[in-house]
This record gives sequence, structure tokens and C-alpha cells, in this order.
Amino acid sequence: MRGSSLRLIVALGIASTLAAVLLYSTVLGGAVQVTRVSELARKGDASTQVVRLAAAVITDGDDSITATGERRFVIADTRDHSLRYTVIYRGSIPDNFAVGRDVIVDGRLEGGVFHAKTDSLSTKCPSKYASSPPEGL
Amino acid sequence: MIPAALLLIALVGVAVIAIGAPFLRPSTALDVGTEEEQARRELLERRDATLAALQELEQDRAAGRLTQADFEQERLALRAEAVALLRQLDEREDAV
Amino acid sequence: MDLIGRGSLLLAFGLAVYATAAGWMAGRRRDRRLLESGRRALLAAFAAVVVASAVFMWAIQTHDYRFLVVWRSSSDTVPQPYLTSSFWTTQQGSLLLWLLVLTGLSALVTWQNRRRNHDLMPWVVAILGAACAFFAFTICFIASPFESVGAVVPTAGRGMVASLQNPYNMIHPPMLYLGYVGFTVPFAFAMSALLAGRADERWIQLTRRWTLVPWLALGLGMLLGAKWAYEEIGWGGFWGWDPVENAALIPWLTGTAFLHSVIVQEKKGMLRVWNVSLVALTYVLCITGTFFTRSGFTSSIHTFARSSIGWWFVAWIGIAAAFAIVVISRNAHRLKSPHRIESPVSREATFLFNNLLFVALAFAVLWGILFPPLSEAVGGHKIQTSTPYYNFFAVAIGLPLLMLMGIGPVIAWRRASTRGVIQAFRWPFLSAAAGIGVLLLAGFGSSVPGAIALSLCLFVTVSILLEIARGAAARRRLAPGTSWPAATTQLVARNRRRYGGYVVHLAIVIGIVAIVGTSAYATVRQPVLEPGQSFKIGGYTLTFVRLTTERGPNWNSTNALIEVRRGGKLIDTVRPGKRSYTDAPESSQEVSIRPTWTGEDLYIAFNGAVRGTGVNLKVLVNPLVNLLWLAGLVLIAGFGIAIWPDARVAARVARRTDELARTAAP
Repeated sequence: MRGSSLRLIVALGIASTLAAVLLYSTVLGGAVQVTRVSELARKGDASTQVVRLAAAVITDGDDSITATGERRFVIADTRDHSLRYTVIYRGSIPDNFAVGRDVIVDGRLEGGVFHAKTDSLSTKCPSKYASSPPEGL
Repeated sequence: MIPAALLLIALVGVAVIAIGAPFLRPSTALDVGTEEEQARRELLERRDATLAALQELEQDRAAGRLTQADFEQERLALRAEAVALLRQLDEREDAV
Repeated sequence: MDLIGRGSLLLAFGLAVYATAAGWMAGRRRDRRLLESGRRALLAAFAAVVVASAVFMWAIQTHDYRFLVVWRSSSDTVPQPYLTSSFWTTQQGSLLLWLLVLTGLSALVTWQNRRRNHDLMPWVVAILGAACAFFAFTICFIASPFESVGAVVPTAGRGMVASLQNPYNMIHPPMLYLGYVGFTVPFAFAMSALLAGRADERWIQLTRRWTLVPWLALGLGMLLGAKWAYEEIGWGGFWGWDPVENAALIPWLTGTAFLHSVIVQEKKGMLRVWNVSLVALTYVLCITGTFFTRSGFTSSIHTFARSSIGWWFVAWIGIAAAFAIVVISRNAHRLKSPHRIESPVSREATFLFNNLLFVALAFAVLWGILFPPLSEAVGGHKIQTSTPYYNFFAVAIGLPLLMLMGIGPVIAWRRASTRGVIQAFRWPFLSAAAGIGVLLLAGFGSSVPGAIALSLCLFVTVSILLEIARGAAARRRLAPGTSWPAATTQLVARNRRRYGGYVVHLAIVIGIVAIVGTSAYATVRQPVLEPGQSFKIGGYTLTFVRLTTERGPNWNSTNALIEVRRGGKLIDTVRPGKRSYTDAPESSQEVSIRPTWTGEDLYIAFNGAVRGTGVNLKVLVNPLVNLLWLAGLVLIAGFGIAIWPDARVAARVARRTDELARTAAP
């Protein structure tokens, strides 16, 4: 095989990876858009799609857990705490889940209540290591 | 405060002496080798790599990883390469 | 105190700048005195950073809250080993640790070469000096660990983050730093070889260990981080594709590619441009990784703007990349290879494909980090790339890589004939085919990628074992009467690097089996139990007895007392729980993990108390997960074999040097 045709294979390989990565992340749903509570509220009950919601925790619902493991807690828009929804959630609770934290949770609005997907709750602290945030820097 | 400052001055002093000391000696040129040496070094590296490849090829055949035909073909190619390298090395040595 | 700390850091900065200038001038003027002086400047810089680190450590140990960083990250009640580790839990402290490791490695490598390689060393001193100078600059002027808390000194510290009070925090960050920082050395040597006009393979031979060590450190660092996450976070997994994990993974992937492609250069003199580019890329990605973790860039582009240290890192990344591009492109003509790849069915080509896949995977992961902040900046919408995105590429690129791992060690150099391929691969291929049949019959078909991965693991294992067996058999033919173990030992000893590499391959296979086991075949349940209630999972019966409370030096915890039965017999009593810390506003999971000899874990996390007396648990049966930690041990073993000095290689190098000296003399 000539060096040039091998070079062609290499170039094609790189180009197709680039294309796959770009396509997958932008079009094919590899990345999910994050919705604010205010945006969800604007759509209201017209919104039936599953969304990834970024919100602030108002109550942690530690005393609300039912026999089936459901927990009800209240979240609000991160900027406007008067825009609130109750979340029904099952699954694991991240370590630093607490009142006042920013969280991300997947789910769907049904009858004014946010039904979250199991295990989809995560706190917005970007990392398990970055728990000492670079404040003031 | 004062002892800390003194300690710091001492540190700086030691550092300055350490990096200044080489300049007390007479200047000498760095031995970086000549272009000729470098060219020879590269040829020697290639020669050793080729000889090692021949050795490895023998092992591969002994271990049954290669067919006899593949072995013969590769050995001829490597030998030719080794011979060419040795010739080049000889020519350079003669030129010296 | 702070005067000594600040002063010695400034001194280190000045010395590093001086080393850069002296090294550069020594290279240009070929002046021995300048080189010697620059080398000593690096040694002195290391000494100065040791002094600064000692001061900082002293401040931590004596709870000296005049220092802002000490006040912010510890308290009188943080227990001992964790107090020491608060050295590196802050931005400032971890930068200091970085500088300590970097100046230490620089001092060591220039000391090692004080009488050798004088054509390369001036440039090495200059480049290492510049790297040290950058980090010393950030510590002196942007994020100083010696910043004062202000006029009023607090009497109590703010406490240490709960999840960092964990044994893994003692070892995981230093390990990662050793990895990140270590790649500076091969980078410096590669660039120096080009600057000195030395395009041969010497820089690779000189930095072989300097590449293996950071590679291992980065790999073990990630593994320790995985174990930490598994035991501490409580979601039952060990890898979350978190930007910080990815930041370490990306340079590790390109570093792995580099470890492979240098073999082709050493054996065949090929891929020279690619190798210097790859080592430069790995260095730049190490800095990029630490930039991601420090700047707030990954959470949002807006946080990034608020954290000024990020811009300095961007500047350094730009300088390093531009420097590498200029040096490589100006010397490209020297890097022309005497050979080219002749056939796509050859070991050279396999190495090349392996490299492309590693780099492609690194790029996919990198894009996963870059895409959300960039799209937010451009489109204004917040976007997240999450597990499905990464898993897709891990599977799509990982499976072919796994296959190449079985092919590469066996396929012939230059050009493999069809008959040769059949001869070499019939047994590995047949066992993989048989393996996939057995797996499907045994019900592992529930995950298609899982079943494919497991059968490929079998393919690789058989191909490696067969390779070793063939080698040992050949040795026994050469020396009849040698026993099998003796023949194998001789085989490995005669080519440590190759067979060490195979052991590392086996470690990777073991790790992949573990990853497949947990990600494709785990069982998860999240029951709510009242006292006395039981439930069954994967052959275990768990009975919740009651809630208990415990008290530690700086924490209180609520635990669930649980009896574990198997086959009706009580085999264990466990108490998973949740700790609240009295000196920090946080809590941490205390997961209960019960390993078995088959590698399976019964994993129980406490998800919260229910109405005072009940409990919400998360229970997983994770098959094969313990193989991952075993893989770490095998990895270290393979590394040990590969890095052990090889007498034959040393003899060859010595003979070459001899020959050179003999013919150079007039």
C-alpha cells in the first residue's frame, strides 16, 4: 500500500470521528438542554415533554417519604424564589442535597406537579472534588 | 519579624551563590557533539534497531507466529537494510 | 511566618525565570557555565518551594488562622490525617503542591543528566524553568496560600468539606498531580531534541521511564478517585463522566497512545512527527485538564469569567501550544522517516489505528466538556452532555480498541499474509466465538455491548497467553530441559518491556470485565422498610432492624441496622448511614459495601429516614466490581516489569556510545 492511501484512511478516520462527535452532541440528543423554572412556568401545562430542570431547593422533604420511597420536595427558580413547584421523586439523594442548594432534576410537569425520573437528581456542584469552590478568585 | 527577614536574606544569599559559582570558573564550551557524530549516532541507532528486529523475527519464527514464507521475505528485507546501514557507517568511518 | 512563605515563593519564581533565560542562552551560545548555573537555579527553586511548603504545612498543623486559606479549609476539630491533607484541598494549596512536584521533578531530571546529554540539557532546563515560572507566578500573584485573613483573626476555622475527610483524599490528589506534572518532562525533552536539531530516537529512550511513571500515576489516580466515588458518593457507581474525571482521562488517553506509538518509532523510525506532536498534545491537555478543574469553566462560562485564574491558564495553554507548533513545524524536515507503512494488515498499521482511536476518544470526551459552555456562550441556552453521550463513544471506540489489543501483539511487522493471520489468530478467534456462544446461553445477551466486550476480553486474554506460551515453548526448544516456569521467567526477563506491556494489557482486560459487570449487569432496588421488614435481592435477604445513632470526633450519624441473610443463614450485620458534620454545614454518605470472593459487592446506601422509624435504602448487587481494584494491582505489577532496568538494552546503548567515542577520536 502506498503511503498516500494510508494517509487518506487516516484523514477519513479523523474526519468521520469529528463528524460523529459533532452530530451526536448537537442533533442526535447526546446533549440535553437545561430548562429554568421560569421557562417551565411560562409554558405551564402546555409543557408535556421531559425536561432537565435547574432549580433551587426550598424544602428537602425529608419528612415526606412514603412507603414506596417517594419524596416530595419544593423547588423554585434560582433567581425568583416565588416561582415554585412540588417535585415527586424516587431514588438516590446526593450527599450535598439540602435547602438552598441548586439542583438539576429530569422529569415532566403533570397537573402542576413535577414528576421526576428515578435517580435523576443531582446537585449542581460540578464535581465531587470541587467541593472547595474557587470562591473569591 | 526580624529573624524571618534574616532567614529570607540568607535563603536569597545561598541561591545567588549557588547560581553564581559556575561563573567563577573559566568559560568552557558545551560538548554538544558534531553534526558528523550525530549522523553516525542515528545510523548506529538504526543499525541496532534493525539487528534487534532480525533477532525478534527469529524468535517469532521459533514461536510459530509467522509462516515460513513471511519469515523469509521479512528476513531478506531486514538484511538488506542492515547491510545498507553498515555500508553507510563504513563510508563515514573511511571519510574520518 | 508569612514573610518567609511569600519570600521563598518569590525567590522560586525569580530562580525559575533565571533558569529559563540561562538555559536558553546556554543552548544558543553553547556555554557550559550558563547551563550549570541554570541547572543549579532549578535545584535552588525546588529548595525554596520546599521551604514555602513547610511554612504552609506548619500553619495548617498549628491552626494558624491568620492565613485565609487555613481558616477557610480546616478547623481545630478536623482529625489528624485529614488535617494534613487539607494542604491540597484548596486552589492555593493544590497549586503549591503542583509547584512542589514540578520543581522536584525538574531538579531530579537535571541532576540525573548533569554529566550527560549536554546537547539537549540547556533547552530542557529552559523549558522546565518556564513551566516552573508559570506556576510560581500564579501562586505568587494570583492565588497565594499565604494571603492574610485581615485585621481580625478568627478563633475557629470554617472546617473541612465532609466528603474530603476520607482516606482516599490522602493519596488520590497527589497521585493525579504526579501524573499531570510528570508529562512535563517528556514534553521538555521532545522539544529540546528538536531545538538541538536531534531528530533521532534518543529523547524517547531518555524519557521512557519519565513517561511510564506519570502514565501510571494518572491511571492509578483515576482508579483511586473511582474507589473514592464508589465508597463516598453513594450512588453505587464509580465513574460519572464528571468533568473533573474526564479532565484526567483525556491526557491519559493521549498518553496511552504515545506509549504505543513510540514503539513504532524505536523499532522502525516511523511516526516521528506524530510522536512529538502527541507528547506536546498530552502536555497541553494536562494543563487544559487542570484548567477545567480550577477555573469554574465546566459549570458555566459565566463562573469562568469571575475566576481570573482561568485566563492565566488559557494564556499558558496558548503559549505552550504555539511554542510546540512552531518548534515542530520548523523542524519537520529533520523528522522525515526512512520508512513508511506498507500494509494496513501489519503491526505498524495496528499501532497507528490504535493511536487514532485513542485520540478520537480523547477528542470526543474533550468535546463533551467544551460543548456545554460554548453552546451557552453562543446560543444562550444551558446544555448538558451526560452519561449517554460519553457511554456511546466509550462503547463505539472502546470496543475496536479492545479488539486491537488482541491483534497488535501478535500480528507481524511490515506486512502480514493471510495465511500468517490465520495461523496467529485461529485460537484467539475460536475462543472468542465460543465465548460469545456460552455468554448468550448463560443469559448475558441482556446487554449486547456487554456480551461483545466480554468475548473480546476473552479474545485478548487468549491471544496474550498464547503469545507467552509460544515464547516459552521456543525457549524450551533452545535449551531443552528448562521447566515451563523457568522458561517463562527467562522470556519475560529477556524482554521486560514487551511482556510488562502484556501484563498491563491483562490488567486492562480485568478492569474492563469489572466495568462491564457493573454497568451492564448490576441489580438495583430502592426499598422503603419499616423495622422488622425484609426484602430480597440477588440471593440476599435484608432485614431492617432499627435506626441507630453514632457519634464521632466532629460528626453525628444516623445509621440503619440491617441483617444480611443468604440461604436463610445470617451472614452479616451492616449499618449504612449518613453523617452530619458539626464543624461544616454538610453531610456524607457512609455506604456499607460487602464484598465476596467472586468479586461481587452487596452495596447498601442510606437514602434517608422515613417518618421517624423507617428507612429508604438504595441496594445494589454489583457483579465483578472488585476486579477493578485487582486490575490496579496487576497494572502496578506490569508497570514494575516494564520499568525494571534491562541489562541487554543498557549494554547495547553502552556499546553504541563506545563505538561513537572510538571513531570520533582522531
